[in-house]
This record gives sequence, structure tokens and C-alpha cells, in this order.
Amino acid sequence: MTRAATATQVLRMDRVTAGYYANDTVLDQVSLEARPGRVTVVLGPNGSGKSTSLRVLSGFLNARSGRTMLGSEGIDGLPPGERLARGIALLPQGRSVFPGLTVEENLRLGAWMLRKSPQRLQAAVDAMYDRYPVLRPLRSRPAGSLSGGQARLLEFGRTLILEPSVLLIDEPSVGLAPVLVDQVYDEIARLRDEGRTILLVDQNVQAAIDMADYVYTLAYGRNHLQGERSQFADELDSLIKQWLNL
Amino acid sequence: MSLSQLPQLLINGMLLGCIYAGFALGLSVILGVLKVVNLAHSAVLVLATLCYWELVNALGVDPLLSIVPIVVLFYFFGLALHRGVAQRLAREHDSTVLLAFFGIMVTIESIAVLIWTTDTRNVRLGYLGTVLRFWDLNIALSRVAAAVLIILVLTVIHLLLTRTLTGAAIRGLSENRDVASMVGIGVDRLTRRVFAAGTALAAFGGCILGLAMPFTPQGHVRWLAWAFLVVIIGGMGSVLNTLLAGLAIGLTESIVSVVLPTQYTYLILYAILAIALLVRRTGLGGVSERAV
Repeated sequence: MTRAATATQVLRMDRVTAGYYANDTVLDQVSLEARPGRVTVVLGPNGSGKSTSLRVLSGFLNARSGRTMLGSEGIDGLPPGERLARGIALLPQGRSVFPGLTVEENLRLGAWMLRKSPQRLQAAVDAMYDRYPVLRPLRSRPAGSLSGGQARLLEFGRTLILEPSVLLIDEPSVGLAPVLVDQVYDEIARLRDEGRTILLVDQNVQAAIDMADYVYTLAYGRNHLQGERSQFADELDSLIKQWLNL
Repeated sequence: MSLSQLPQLLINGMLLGCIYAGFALGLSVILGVLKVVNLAHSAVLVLATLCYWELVNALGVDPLLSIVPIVVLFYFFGLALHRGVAQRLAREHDSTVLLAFFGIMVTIESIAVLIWTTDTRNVRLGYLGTVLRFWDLNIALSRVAAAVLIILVLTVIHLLLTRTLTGAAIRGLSENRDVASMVGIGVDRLTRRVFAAGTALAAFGGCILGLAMPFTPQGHVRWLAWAFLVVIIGGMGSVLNTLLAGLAIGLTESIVSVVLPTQYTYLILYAILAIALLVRRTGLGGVSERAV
């Protein structure tokens, strides 16, 4: 496994308040921390601010107050491309391939930040074919013609092509056939074993807790509970009941 | 119509078709990539024709060479138009955008009339004014030059879009803006450049208009309709389909105008448009794409 020299680092958001419009507050003083080589899971009912947290951390939404940090460096206000250059990559919810572009073009666009050095770009693309050999024979197929599982692998490939040290993963199993869901979580486990920092947002509570090292729960845009996985395994049932009653 | 006329009609139609494809290029790029219905397309096109006319007729610059400064000038005009207007409309409703560009069209047209009056003009073609004769065929050299230039430009655009990373980024931008910015593409800057390139291509179409036929500052609306016809029949996202659609329209016009009274030309063309829309909403390009 070839890994870039990007040092894995702690990703942190500290008392972040954010919203999409001037007078709505989706996140209210939310703090999260994700550590290298661990899967940190964020759970919560719909509308509790899980995806919004990822948007703030990946630079698509600016926090109104509070801080976002990678290691000891503040990353507030940096656009998505700058965060990508620092090793933070987002795997968004739902289909995110460019359907009209070929598999190869999708991967090459994933490596857009390397466009100034064609050799490194090509090497990065080849490394992804080595990582996901299934994609190699499909390289000139339009991504829109791939099966759900193949497209998900392509999305992983596009997200990983710059060898990010921090991965923000939003609902990785939504819309996938049950047989593919296991593969997705296996892949996330592999990413963790490679020492990357993983922040996972998931509605699939059972699967997420199974692979979590540390769990946060959000409710109404605020921090609710947090702790090591062992604390949550028993509480799971009551937790879900609690959400349904919220 | 006698059969002996046919080769002449086919050649006329094909040359005209290339020219129509040239008129549609800028519209197709801005609509296809940025999803902006640029109603001011033809006004920009004719403004470029007038500037082109000034260069060639008043300053005596070579008619082929003059195309370069016009296209460059309008690239910057496009940048300014995007910064001043289009960019501010990014989050607005489609109808607002349509109305704004209609306003730009009226403004440009009015300014053009103030400066250049409503006279019909001809670009002084010089050496391009000759008519080539082969056997029984008469072919205007200026139209051949126009067609060659258009095919050249179409080929370059096609290669740029399909063979380069920037081209992939532009197509990616048109498919999913969010993901495009996720991979680090500066989408705002790329958008501005695509808009400027579309404006420069409209200006290129304007130079072609000057080369190929007489024009007036107010006669551009017809070319707007024609450009939409080409874009809708050809579909967006493939420049080669734009050329095919242009050829189909040019050939139809050229042949129908001989077989039937002139007024039927429009009827037939719009019937083709209706059929194209019925077959597939994205145009004929969508059909061939599905067949692949």
C-alpha cells in the first residue's frame, strides 16, 4: 500500500454554530473530534445536524462562530479545494459520480489538484486501479452506466485518489443493495486500518456502532451524548426509542 | 426542380448548414454547460458583426485576420458581462435570468442602432468575394472559408472537451457543480471562463455572419431562432451533433425553398423541431447516445 506522506491528524470542530440562512441555526455549539486510525461515528435523528457538520468540516458551509481545526492548524474559512489539499476529503451522500464522464475521467477529475504534474496524476489514477481492480476494465465506460456497487467503488476511488488523511463519509450505505452494504463497511474498516481519520455519519445505526471506536449523538443541532463504543452497544435500543419519541 | 440543380442545392445547403452551426455554438456552450438561456446571444453576435465590419471596411484589415481580435475582444466582453450581470443572477429564478438577458439584448440592439443605424451592411470581402466555378456549380469562396473555419473551430472544441482534463472539468461542471467543487475545481472561475468563451464563440458566429451574408443590427432575432433550432435539434453537450443539426437545417432550407414556396421553409423547419422534441427532449444527440 502506497501512502502519501500526509501525516494523519486529529480533526476537530469546537463549539460551531452554523446554518444555511441568516436566521436559522442548524448547528448550535456543536463540538466533535475525530482521531487517526479510528472510526468516529455521528448519530442522530433526521435534521439533527449530522450532514451539516460534515459540510462545515469540508468547507462547503462556513461556521458562524466556533472553530474548525486540523491538528493544531485552524482551517476556518478555507474553501473545499484548500481543505482537500490539506488531506480532508468528503464522500457525500447519494450518487456523486459524473454520469456522462468515463470512469477514467471521473478518477482524473478526482485528482484535479495534481493537474500541474501529469505524471503524478497518472500515477494516482493507476494507484486507484490497483486498489479497486474492478474499475480497470471499466475505464472507458460512462460512469452513469455502472451498477450501484461499481459506482460506489468509483466514488471511493475518486475520494481517495489524493490519499487524504481525513475522510468525512456521509451515509455510505444509503440506496445500496444489502450485499453491497457489507462491502462498503469492510472498505471503511480498511481505511481505518490504514491509519486514516474517519468521521462517519450514518442512519444505519447498528452497522455504524458495530464499527465505531467513538460515538457522538446529536439532537436538535446540539451535542447530546458521546463516548467509547462499549458504552453505546447496550444503550442502542433505548437510544433509538428515545429518538423516535423526540 | 430539375435533377441537374441538385448538386448545387446540396452544396448551398451544406455551406449554409455549417454557417448555422456557427451561429449556434456560443448559445450551445452557455446553455449546455451553465444552463443559462442566453437570449442576448444573437444581439452579441450582431454587435460582433458590426465591430468586424468596422475593422474590415473602415480600417481595411484582412477579413480572415480580423476575426482574431474580435473573438479576443468579446472574450473580455463576456468576462465583464458575467461579472456585471450573469454572476449576480446565479441564484435567481430561471424567468428572472431570461428577463435579464432579454434586457441585455434590447440594450445591445439599441446601442447598435444608435451607432450604426438600421442600414443593411455588407462586409467588403476583397479576395474572398470571388465565386468559384466547377462544372455547373457556383460556390461563393467566402462561404467556403466560413464553413472551413467553423469545422475547424468545432473540431478544436470537441477535442478540448473530450481529450483534456479541463474539458472533463467543464463537462463535470455541467453535470454536478457540487461534486466539481468537491474535487477542488474552482467552479466560480471556471464558470466565468466558460461564459466568456461562449460569448467569444457568439462573436465568432458574428464574424461568420459578416463573411456569409448582408446583415442589419435588428435582423439578429431570426438568427436567435435559428440558433435555438440548431441547439434543440442537435441537443447539448456534443459539438458534432451541433454540426449535424446545422447541416440538417441548412439542407432542408435549401431544398425546401426550391421545391415549395418560400413561406413553407419555416413551416417545415418547425415541424422538424416538433418531431425532434417529441423523439427526445434532449435532442437527437440523446438518441445516438442511448444507442451506443
